[in-house]
Amino acid sequence: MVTCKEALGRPVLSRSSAEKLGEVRHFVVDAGAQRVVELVVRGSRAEELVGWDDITGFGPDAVLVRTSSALREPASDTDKADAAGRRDPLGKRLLNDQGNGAGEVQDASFDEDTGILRSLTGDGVEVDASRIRGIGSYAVVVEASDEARALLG
Amino acid sequence: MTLLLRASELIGLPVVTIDGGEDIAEVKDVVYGSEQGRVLGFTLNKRGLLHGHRREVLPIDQVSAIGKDAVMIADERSCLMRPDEAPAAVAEPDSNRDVLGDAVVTDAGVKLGVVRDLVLLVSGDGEAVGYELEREGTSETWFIPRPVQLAVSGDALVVPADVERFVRHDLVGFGAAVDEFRSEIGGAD
Repeated sequence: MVTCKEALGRPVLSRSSAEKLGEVRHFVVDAGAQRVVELVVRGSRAEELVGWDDITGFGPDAVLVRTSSALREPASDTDKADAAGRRDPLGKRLLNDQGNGAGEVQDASFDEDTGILRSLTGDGVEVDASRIRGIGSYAVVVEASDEARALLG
Repeated sequence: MTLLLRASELIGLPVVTIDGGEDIAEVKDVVYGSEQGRVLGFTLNKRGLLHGHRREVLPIDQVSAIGKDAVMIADERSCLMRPDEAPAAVAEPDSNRDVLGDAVVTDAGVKLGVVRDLVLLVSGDGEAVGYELEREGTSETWFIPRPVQLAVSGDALVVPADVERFVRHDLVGFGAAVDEFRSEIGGAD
């Protein structure tokens, strides 16, 4: 298990050429699948995207991708928004589906082999990733906990 | 425990899509139906620095939840409505149906104050559980529960004299008063 904050800024290397391609800049999280599906890599030129399937090793010191050609420039509007961090949970408002917030997402932990998200940490709360409903440029929306519902009567 | 908020606190709140996590608009104004005793919907502004008026409105039945930090909807395309497809009460609100500034008088003939704000349940369905009143020309305010039997005109609201017993001066204590009022008198359902 690794957290997004720990992995942020980690060097991204090509496994075939050993050259440094850049650093981890953002995570692209699929809210429905609750997993990291892409990484945004900041290289010398600009932000590029690499799919999770092209990552051969997510280690404590570096992230290895198959080849440098696995990185692609953002082409579609979705790609461009993702490259700018739209589906990165870090720093987003943490809102439940009842419209009540718990500060900002401080961190998120995921499995480095599968990219499956385990939990999010907000201001003093930890939310299981299975409760994520949506991630966008404004907020991470999570299903309200039973405690939160009970409090609302 | 009942968490309450004032309708005026909703103005400026973001309207957020649950599945998208996007803030697609913000609340410009709250449209209240005094006869129904509930919020009928919202008029909207655009988000961002220039936030101009947004033509579409948000009827209450398209709202998933009204929270203290955001108004939640399922998605932008199906929930926001053009004025010509939205209920007229929301698209063209009648200022006479807005109770703000109306006098509240008990059926015993005592004037309790004028309506300054509506009190809603946090994460409720937009039903008004009470009113915040003020005495004209002062900053002092207090809260009364909204009774189900209520005569409303553009000038005044007539409430049962019993309501006076449930007057509270702070919103925190008012939650319990609403519960008490409803179980004893049978307030708004």
